[in-house]
Amino acid sequence: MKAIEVEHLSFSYETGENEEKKNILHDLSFSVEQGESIAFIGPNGSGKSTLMKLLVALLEKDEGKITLLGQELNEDSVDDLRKKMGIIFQNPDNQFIGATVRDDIAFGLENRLIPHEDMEDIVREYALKVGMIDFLDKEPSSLSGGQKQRVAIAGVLSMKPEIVYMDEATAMLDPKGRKEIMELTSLMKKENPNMTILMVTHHMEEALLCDRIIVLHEGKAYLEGTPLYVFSHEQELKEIGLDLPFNLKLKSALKKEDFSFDEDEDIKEIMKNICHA
Amino acid sequence: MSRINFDHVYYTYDVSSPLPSVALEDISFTLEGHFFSAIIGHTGSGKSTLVQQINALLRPTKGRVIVGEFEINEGKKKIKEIKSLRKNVGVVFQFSEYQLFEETVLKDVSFGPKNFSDSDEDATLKAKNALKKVGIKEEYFTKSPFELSGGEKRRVAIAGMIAMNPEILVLDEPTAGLDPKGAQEILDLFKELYDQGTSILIITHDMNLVLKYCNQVLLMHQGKLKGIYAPSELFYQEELLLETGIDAPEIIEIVKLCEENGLSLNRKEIKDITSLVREIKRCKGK
Repeated sequence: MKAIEVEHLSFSYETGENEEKKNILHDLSFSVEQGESIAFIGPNGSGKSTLMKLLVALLEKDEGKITLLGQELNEDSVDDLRKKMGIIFQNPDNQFIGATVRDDIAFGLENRLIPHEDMEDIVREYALKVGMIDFLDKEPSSLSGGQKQRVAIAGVLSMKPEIVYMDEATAMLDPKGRKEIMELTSLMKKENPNMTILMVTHHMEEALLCDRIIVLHEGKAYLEGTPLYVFSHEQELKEIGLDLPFNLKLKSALKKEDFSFDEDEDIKEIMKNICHA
Repeated sequence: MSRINFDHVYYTYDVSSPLPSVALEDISFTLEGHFFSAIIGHTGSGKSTLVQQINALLRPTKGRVIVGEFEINEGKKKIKEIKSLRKNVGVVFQFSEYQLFEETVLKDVSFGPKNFSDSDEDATLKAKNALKKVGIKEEYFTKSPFELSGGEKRRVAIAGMIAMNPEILVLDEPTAGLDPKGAQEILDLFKELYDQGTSILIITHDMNLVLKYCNQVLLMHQGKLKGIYAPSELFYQEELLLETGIDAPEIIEIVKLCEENGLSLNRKEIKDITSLVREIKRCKGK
């Protein structure tokens, strides 16, 4: 089954003055299989965050159709569909609701009227999964950004969502926090093969973790395919201001300087061979 | 000439509360001349607290900070020259785009110079020049800052500081959340300002940036200054990095690998992929 189907989606903001409209998304179509993970990359202003907001109905589309888990997203279905979605936002401080880690993870469960006697077990289960079991009684102020995001992820996972959105979930984290979240995302994928993950990111290394990448540019799908396919289009990416992940960038720079090597080989092997050539 | 001197600076948050937390402990250092420096350290190491001392948003609990001719000490007395201090040292905070507030881009950027008693005309001129420098087109001047994209807003916020022509520009995570091109443009701008005589101090988690642009690095760890290093030295000190929770740029691992495999690279020359490849070519006599 398709988890997400977007057909001819358009969206524009009214910019106040002269009722001028600013096109953000323009006739965008794509679909995502259940269990697939997709990264949206694109320059600032390409429409990535707007797309996320449309998919969770925080914004209303101008035109087009969004179908989630076989159900069209509209006023009647939005409440039901939202129960099946989880969102991790960019700012770890804006989504910490509870006074302690335990309360925060339990918040969503309480909303769903999970019986109290089950709740503690569920909270512990997910705190363990995200590596925060020793922090249950800690206050948010004593946690690092990465730890706060892990708590947010535990809260989302405990609701057993079918679709998880990550909207630049690592943008405000330090490198260590980012690594923690990337490792957790990989684990999340492995443990929940049916969960569909959509992420928006500026970090090409994170996009590499996904099954497929969709590059957005000026509200349209500019490039689409496996990470290997997308990142083989260095020139096209450069034109819209995007970069390659480090290893691929190094390979490309070596190639330009006429070093010869097998491109599919691991970068370390390539470097060793070059040194001994 | 720009000069920042920390003289045994301590800072404690909530000093009179039952739970005081020490953020800075006995920090002493001097940055002077024409510098492009970075402050790095794990989250919570005291970087942002340190920066807030530089323009007296926070004052030391003990010790003193001397910036140019201004002294910021532990006293409660108002610092008379604070305006002129803030004119000399421009601080651009993290996610500065959230600090825009005026009706139009141009008004927002002229707010600073106007506040420092320039005439409206002069202030507008300075604002226009600053906006030009950061690459904001004239057609944007009359727009509301809130209509701009994230990267554009960031540049407008930076223009607000540049308009005051500070001797030292301090920036807290200026590239976070920007796409690679937006980040590159901002860094090119800092380089240009540096070449024109402004000293730059950047707080960042981006070690690639540090390696490529900075000539010295202040490493913070648990509220203390661990030391001041040249980037090309620091990133090869594995034990120190492990202790302070810093990840070296990915390129360092490749440099080490090449060295283990017999190349004698000049570490000082290696700042990014381009210069690494150049060094490898030199070693291989290509």
